[in-house]
Amino acid sequence: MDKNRCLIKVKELKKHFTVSHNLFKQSSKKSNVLKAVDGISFEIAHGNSLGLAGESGCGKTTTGKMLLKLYEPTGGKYFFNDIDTSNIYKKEDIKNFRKKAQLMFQNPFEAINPRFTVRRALMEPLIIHHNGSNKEKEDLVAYILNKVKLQPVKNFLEKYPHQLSGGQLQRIVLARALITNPIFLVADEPVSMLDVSIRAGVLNLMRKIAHEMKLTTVYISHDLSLIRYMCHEIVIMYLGKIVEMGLTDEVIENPHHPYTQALIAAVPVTDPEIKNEEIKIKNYVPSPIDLPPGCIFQNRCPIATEICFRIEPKISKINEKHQVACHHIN
Amino acid sequence: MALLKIEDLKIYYRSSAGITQAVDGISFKLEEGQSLGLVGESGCGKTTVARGIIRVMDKNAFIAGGKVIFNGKDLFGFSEDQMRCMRWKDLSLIPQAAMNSLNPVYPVIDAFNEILILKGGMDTDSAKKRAKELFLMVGLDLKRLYHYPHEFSGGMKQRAIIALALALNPKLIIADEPVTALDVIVQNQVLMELKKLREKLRVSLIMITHDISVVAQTCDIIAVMYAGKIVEKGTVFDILKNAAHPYTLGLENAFPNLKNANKSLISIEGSPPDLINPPNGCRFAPRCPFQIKDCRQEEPKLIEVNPGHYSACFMMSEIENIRKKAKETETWIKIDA
Amino acid sequence: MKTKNNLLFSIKHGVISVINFFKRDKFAMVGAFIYLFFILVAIFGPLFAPYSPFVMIKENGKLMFNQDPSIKYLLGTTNMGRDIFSQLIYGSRPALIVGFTAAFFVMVIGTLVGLIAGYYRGKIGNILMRLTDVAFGIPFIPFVIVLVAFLGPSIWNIVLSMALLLWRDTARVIRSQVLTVRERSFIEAARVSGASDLRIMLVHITPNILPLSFLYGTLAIGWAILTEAAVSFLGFGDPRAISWGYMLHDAYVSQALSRGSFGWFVPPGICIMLMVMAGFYIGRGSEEILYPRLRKMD
Repeated sequence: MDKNRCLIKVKELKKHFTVSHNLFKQSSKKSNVLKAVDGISFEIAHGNSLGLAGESGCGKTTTGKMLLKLYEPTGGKYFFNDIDTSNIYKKEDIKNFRKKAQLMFQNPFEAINPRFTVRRALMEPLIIHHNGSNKEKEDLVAYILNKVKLQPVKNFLEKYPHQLSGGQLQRIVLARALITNPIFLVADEPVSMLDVSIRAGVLNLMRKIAHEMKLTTVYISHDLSLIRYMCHEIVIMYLGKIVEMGLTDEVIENPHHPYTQALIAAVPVTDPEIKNEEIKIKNYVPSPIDLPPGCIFQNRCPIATEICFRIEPKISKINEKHQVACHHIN
Repeated sequence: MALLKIEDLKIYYRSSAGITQAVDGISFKLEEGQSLGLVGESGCGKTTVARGIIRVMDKNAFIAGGKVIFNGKDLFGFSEDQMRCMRWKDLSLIPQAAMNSLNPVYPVIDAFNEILILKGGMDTDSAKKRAKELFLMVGLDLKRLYHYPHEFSGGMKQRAIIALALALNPKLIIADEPVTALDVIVQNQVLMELKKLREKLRVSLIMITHDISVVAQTCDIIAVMYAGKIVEKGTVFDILKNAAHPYTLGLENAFPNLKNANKSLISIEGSPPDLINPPNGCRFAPRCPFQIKDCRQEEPKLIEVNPGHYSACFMMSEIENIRKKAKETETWIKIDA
Repeated sequence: MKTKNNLLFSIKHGVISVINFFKRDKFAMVGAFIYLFFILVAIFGPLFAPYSPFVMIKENGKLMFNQDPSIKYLLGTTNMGRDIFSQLIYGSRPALIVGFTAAFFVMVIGTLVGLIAGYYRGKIGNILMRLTDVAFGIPFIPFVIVLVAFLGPSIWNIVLSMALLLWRDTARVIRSQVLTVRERSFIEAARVSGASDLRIMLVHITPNILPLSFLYGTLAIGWAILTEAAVSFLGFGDPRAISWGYMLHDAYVSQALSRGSFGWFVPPGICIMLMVMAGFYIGRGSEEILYPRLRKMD
């Protein structure tokens, strides 16, 4: 693949945390390393959207934070626009990076300083990066509020977060992320705390703006339907590893990994004539601290065989984009 | 005779700003063994209804009218002592985020003992036997009886809570967002468990949630709430296949469908009305693309559009047209309210 | 430069929320009025005091010592013929000077230490917290006495000793508050926006802890006044500044109790008590500030 076409390139990325004491298991192995992310690799082309999907504890949020340099990886490589991000460590360089890579938060009620007005909150990135004169800053603030459809702008400038609804706040969080004209946006469960009838508005707005600004985006969510709506490609994570990835439509229509299959079958269908089946996966979720060798899904997999307990499956390619980590694909 | 009959229930809250008419005239019926999904978004009053039925409301909430008739008896006529006798034994409530309410310094079996011994009057041995029975019933490993809550995963805790709610064989369980905080696979398993238990024990269920897909899978009848009122009610087929209220149609538009990639998601612009000063007429009218002048003058009452299917809307004569138009994005773009 | 403007902005916000808070809590309002009263007495009182606190009053050549309260001497005179009422008025000055100055230092040092320790945790945090522990370990009154013994019994040395030790409570409390605030999403948002550590501390965290700082500042006024009184009572106070504590010392030493000169030792005691109580009421009403009323109001 042409190197220049990928904004994000991640190779065997790892994030391990040392845990001081372990409440969950009295095991004889004194391992105290939490492998939140344990060797993941993927690429995102400029302007594409990637969904990081998986249940809680799979490492998707940690990955998102590494993509934004909020966490430093403990292993592997992360290339941003062909630059090795381990070379970005000086204050100025990090600040420049932050102009280009932004984050949308899950909880809109907490994401804005409660003592700031909307105007002040939106000015903050501009002040940090010294963007132009005061007048230019004010103009940018008005421009961005218009872009996220909070109109008339003057009604919102002097409001405090507690005076606004969840949907409005989330648009302000989006506005703040966009005001420095970034090229990369990570959205961590951007609508999970909003009322259902409001979500569509925010999602549609994000789609439209990402398209207009040619943003490369990563959506982190446990909601597969949301990822299908928003993302071109999808990565399914489980306990720090990627089990399946590829074009969203394809992975969802034609899942190969038993975990993906279970996830998709578990999503409740809004049609009362079609009843979901019970997912017969064993309940045992291993502690991420004491992982056995072999495939990480071994304890719960309905088709696990002897090899699965010994050897970690290599990535197999179903087609150019679609990859699965399983011993048993036919 | 229906197991539960709610008639014109009104529950209001006192606050320094005025009186919030949180639940303003709700009526529905629930038969034995049936499950009702109470669907709505934040602020619609569904949690208030749940707590009102079992009378565990906030201090500043008061019952402004209506009846809750359970097994033929009006619960509002009961004293607090009588209600206390009923709780856990005849009806149970699983409140929101219940799994966080397990006392972290006691092993889980303690919560069971508390209900079985203190409320159920059992002795220690029978209680232990019953606790084991309940654990098996919800699919929990017996080894975990003496574990602490933090050793349970989210799904396990929720199953434990369901087991607690069932401990004394109540006839009705009210579950407030019981699976919202769970991962999707665990959610599936917990819902399946709940379904099996209901069938086996003939327990009625009121499931309170904002997620209509969960309701589609677990409930027999649905009541859709908006701003303290029921705007539509009927069987789960009626509502999800033949919705007859603009709000329900709007809500369905807002849910992405995993298998249908081409469905456009459409938002309902605006926000729910202030319940201290609710607007005249239909409470959904300010956000409704199908409103006419009458909608702002008079409040629509629930009318039967089909046997057992009710909708509170003046526009029922045009319902076919409305259903068609509701699917188009342009319909919902803000018409100045 | 910009950062300084932002700091002033945060301070202004802190002051506004404090003023709003007083309006809500009646007890705290009473406390505020007591403070205000004594401030006025300290500033303008000496203009109205009938006598100088030092002058030994002679009438017709006779020393007016141990006079009972009368119209001429509202609270009577000391055993050296000094007017007690005038002393009481003048006594408000050292009390308030010590109170406010010490409180200011306590607030500033405590907040800075708490802020840095709470934000940086790690090594810096640990060092600062150990320093705080050391400060806690040193018993206060003996320390003041030792310091005064070396540096001389001046009001400013008493203020110095308070500034050196009393910041410890504030530091601990501010640190725990900072630990909470730093985990909130908007702080991460600031970091993602590119804010430096210094900026995050001054612009984002400080406005959220300043109310607590002010609060501990007002409590510190009470502590400081009480301490000065105690130190003066023990005889280590500044003899050139007739503080209330000094008056109590004087009364005690000249056996006023056995003579029944209530006018001498009761009023200063009451004044000290009122100032400390006022500080307490203001502190007590503080629960409103400490609990997040920042939750979305429905």
